[in-house]
Amino acid sequence: MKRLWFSLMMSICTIIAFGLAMIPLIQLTNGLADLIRNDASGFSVEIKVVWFLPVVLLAIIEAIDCLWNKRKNKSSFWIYPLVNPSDDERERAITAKASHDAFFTIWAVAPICAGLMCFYPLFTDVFSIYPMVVVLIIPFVQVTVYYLKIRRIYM
Amino acid sequence: MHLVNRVKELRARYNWTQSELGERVGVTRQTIASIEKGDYVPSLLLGLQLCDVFRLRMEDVFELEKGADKE
Repeated sequence: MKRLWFSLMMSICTIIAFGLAMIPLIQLTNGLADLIRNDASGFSVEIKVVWFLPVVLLAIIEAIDCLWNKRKNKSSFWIYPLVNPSDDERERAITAKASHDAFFTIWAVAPICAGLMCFYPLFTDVFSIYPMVVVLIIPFVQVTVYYLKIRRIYM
Repeated sequence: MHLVNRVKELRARYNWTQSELGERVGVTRQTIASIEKGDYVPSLLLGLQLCDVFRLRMEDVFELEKGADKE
């Protein structure tokens, strides 16, 4: 159960850290857009490396955990920190049901996020990462539903 | 209609823990606990494996209870 909550926390932190790492890239793209619009000869953008720190920090934590629990971890390195319990038929059945439910959650969440994107023009100047936040709501909800469902395995 | 079983009683007779029985049939302790509580209906293969470790026939371990919906 501890492993499950750790994995959920790491997954949510990964999503948030990824969103934060996008901030300087959006600022860079905004600068490029201004350059094109104003037909200027050059542009300068200040990128703060601090936004990449959460991703780097998480990568270090996950690499240590992945190597530390190498024998226990049966799932692929590429889906880390997600867990996919499949030790016996009951775990496989619950994991399959959780995946099914998470998939159908996307069916409901994706149109809502598409609707939220309609409000982007209102936030263009004040909250430039708005589209990134809206897009990352999808994996956030999906991962949360998946973990809430597979916790039944350990109950 | 639902499936009732005597896994808990038989396990106690053999003096096995849930983990020990789980190891014998190749499932986790939680799965044995779920079967005993009636929360999980095992597959035919797992059911037969349980019968095999208890050296009993299927009808001596599992019974179909008619007209009693669990939920």
